[in-house]
Amino acid sequence: MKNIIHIQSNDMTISKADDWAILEKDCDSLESHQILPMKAWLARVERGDNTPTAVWVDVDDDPMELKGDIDKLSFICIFFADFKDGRGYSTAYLLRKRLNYQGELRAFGDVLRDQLSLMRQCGFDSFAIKEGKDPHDAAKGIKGLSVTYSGSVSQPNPLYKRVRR
Amino acid sequence: MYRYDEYDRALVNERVEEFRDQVARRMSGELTEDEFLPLRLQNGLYLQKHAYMMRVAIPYGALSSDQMRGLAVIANEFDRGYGHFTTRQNIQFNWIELADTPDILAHLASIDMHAIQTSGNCVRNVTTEAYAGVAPDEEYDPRIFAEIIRQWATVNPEFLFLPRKFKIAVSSSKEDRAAVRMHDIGLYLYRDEEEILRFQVMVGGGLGRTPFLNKAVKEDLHWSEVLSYIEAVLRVFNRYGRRDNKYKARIKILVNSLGVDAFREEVEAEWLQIREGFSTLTDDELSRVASQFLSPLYKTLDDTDLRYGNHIASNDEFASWVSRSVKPHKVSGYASVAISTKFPTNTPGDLNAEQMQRIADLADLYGFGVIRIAHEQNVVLPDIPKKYLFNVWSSLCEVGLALPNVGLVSDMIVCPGASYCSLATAHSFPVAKKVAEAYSIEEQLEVGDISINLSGCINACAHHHIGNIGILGLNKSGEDYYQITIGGAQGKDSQIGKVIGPAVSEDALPRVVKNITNAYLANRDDSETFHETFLRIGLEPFKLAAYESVGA
Ligand code: HEM
Ligand code: SF4
Repeated sequence: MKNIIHIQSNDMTISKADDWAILEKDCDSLESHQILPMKAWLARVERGDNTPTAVWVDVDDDPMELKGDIDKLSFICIFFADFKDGRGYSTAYLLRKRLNYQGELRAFGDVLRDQLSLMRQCGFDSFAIKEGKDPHDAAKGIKGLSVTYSGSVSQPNPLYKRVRR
Repeated sequence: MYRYDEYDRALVNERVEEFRDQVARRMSGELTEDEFLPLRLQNGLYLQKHAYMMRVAIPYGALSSDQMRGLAVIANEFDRGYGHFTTRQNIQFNWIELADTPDILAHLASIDMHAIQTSGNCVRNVTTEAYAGVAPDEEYDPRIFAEIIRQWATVNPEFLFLPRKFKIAVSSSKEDRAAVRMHDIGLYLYRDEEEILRFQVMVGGGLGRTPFLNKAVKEDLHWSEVLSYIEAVLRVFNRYGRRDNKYKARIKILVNSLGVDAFREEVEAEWLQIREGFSTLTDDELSRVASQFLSPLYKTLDDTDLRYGNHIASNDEFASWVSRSVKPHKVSGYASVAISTKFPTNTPGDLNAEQMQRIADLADLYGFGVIRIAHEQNVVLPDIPKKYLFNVWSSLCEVGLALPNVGLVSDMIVCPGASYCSLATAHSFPVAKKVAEAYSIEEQLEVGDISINLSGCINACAHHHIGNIGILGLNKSGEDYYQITIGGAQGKDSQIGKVIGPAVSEDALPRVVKNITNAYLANRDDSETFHETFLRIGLEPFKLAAYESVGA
């Protein structure tokens, strides 16, 4: 994948590309560093086939179907077909909070600078910035506002439980 | 009145700088219009027919006198000297330059205001009624929860790209004056037998081309769980709301396609996972926010004021204004004043800078410096001692704001229509004016309280579906035509109006409306309201009368 921003314990690394590749919907091959569609991956698990550790979740996939197998995964990518479609934020929330997923969580597709801080708050720690955009410029969008009122994945407590107002 | 602390202030200031950078990137071409669009909408900026329009949030319609003066400054410096108050208690400026918007937002931030989430597919301004905190029939001040919900929803990262806009309203009085039933989430706040605050939660209201009142999904939600419950509703909506068709994307469509029971089950299942979690409200937080809405220090006054009584007895004009504009107050010797912004002297919802300043001055002189915006697009001075009502009236007379028509025919709710709005299918202000002018004030008083709502297109910004008489502007082969619904009502027994028949031309409209009110006068029993008469006699008599001597 290209244009990668990765955040690990507050350190940010930016790279032009990494070794991972997204496999299209009906693909089900098994080379290293391939990211399987969630449904194909689940089908392999069902068959008892040897399973890779990376999947990608489409906009209308139900991430709760990964319940039970989530520990087998260390890399999940969530697809944003259009940055105006906010389903991926709730998908990320559910993976992190409901399924307690601890591995790397990456947004890819229509991923743009002005949404990165929101994605980060919803539990993403890695981003494949839309092709044609400069990831170094996009990285300026990670920081966001210093004040958030509500709780979120990255900061579970709402403001009034974090500080004395 | 809610005062910003350092956190509120930091948030709006940083948001201004963020948007300043986004505007600069748009102007340099770095951001495409498609990428910029949701960013500007979530900062209140629409592109309209003639210019950009900026919608400024007035949370639950409450303003201080300084904030009103600040709006007057914006009207003068960045617009053409006026602004338009909306049914959702916000204000719109119609003639804005893109390059000026960061400075306008900075100016707003300096008076503790913003335009965050006044547009876009996110949670919008949380509304309540104009008389919150002073109405005698109130159980609990709804602004307190409106503010708590406002903070929770502001830049809440998971819910900024919902399928469609999302509107929440709260009311806690016997009479619902906040049109709660047409909101995506409507909240009635009440005390149970043990005096514990609870919410009745209704979901899936909305007007537009498929009007729905919201439906009850939870009867007795404990106050501390209101945020987790809203979160559950929003997560269900965000995941399952339709995104393929803009006109089917509101939560009303999801609720009605699943059926309210299945929808409730979805929400409950989600809610069970998160209740008693981080979003649970604490007593401390409730009292912190509540302490911001303490009543002003009222004086002990007699309920009857001699001078006020004398003025009423000796001045007919004052007396007729009082009969429409002066509203009861929970504290003896005080009253609330509703200021009409309507025809014939004004344009519905519009105030010019001088009028805004005058209202701010009156609030400072007589009314603790507080002002409210009513969803009927009028302005309210909530806390005026009765002995000063005559002074207030005299002063309002000087700026053309002393119309004695609050609640009457000419107090219509009207959207901007083709005057500014690029979505309009018809004019609204000029026709509404003709309807208003068809009645003398005596005739209006004879008709009494009635709501007439006129929208310039099917989006229903003026809530025509829930007006006693609703008027919808259409376009028939290049001409403006108006479709009429009657029987709509807001409040606790809200109802969606029914279409009476073929749409009528602009010229015929005033006659038709008058025929309808005449039919009411001919049929009403004693002190029946328009809506009560409608409920008793049904649509037919109105239908028959409406088209008399106009032809359809
Ligand atoms: C001039 C610029 C405006 C534009 C482009 C605009 C656009 C729209 C649209 C497209 C809708 C329908 C949304 C839907 O059903 O999904 C809508 C609804 C609404 N608008 Fe506006 N509007 C404008 C001004 C106003 C004004 C001036 C008011 C108040 C007088 C207002 C109040 C409302 C309200 C209350 C609704 C909600 C109706 C519902 O729940 O379906 N809008 N607006
Ligand atoms: S009802 Fe239509 S014409 Fe009127 S403001 Fe709304 S979108 Fe514009």
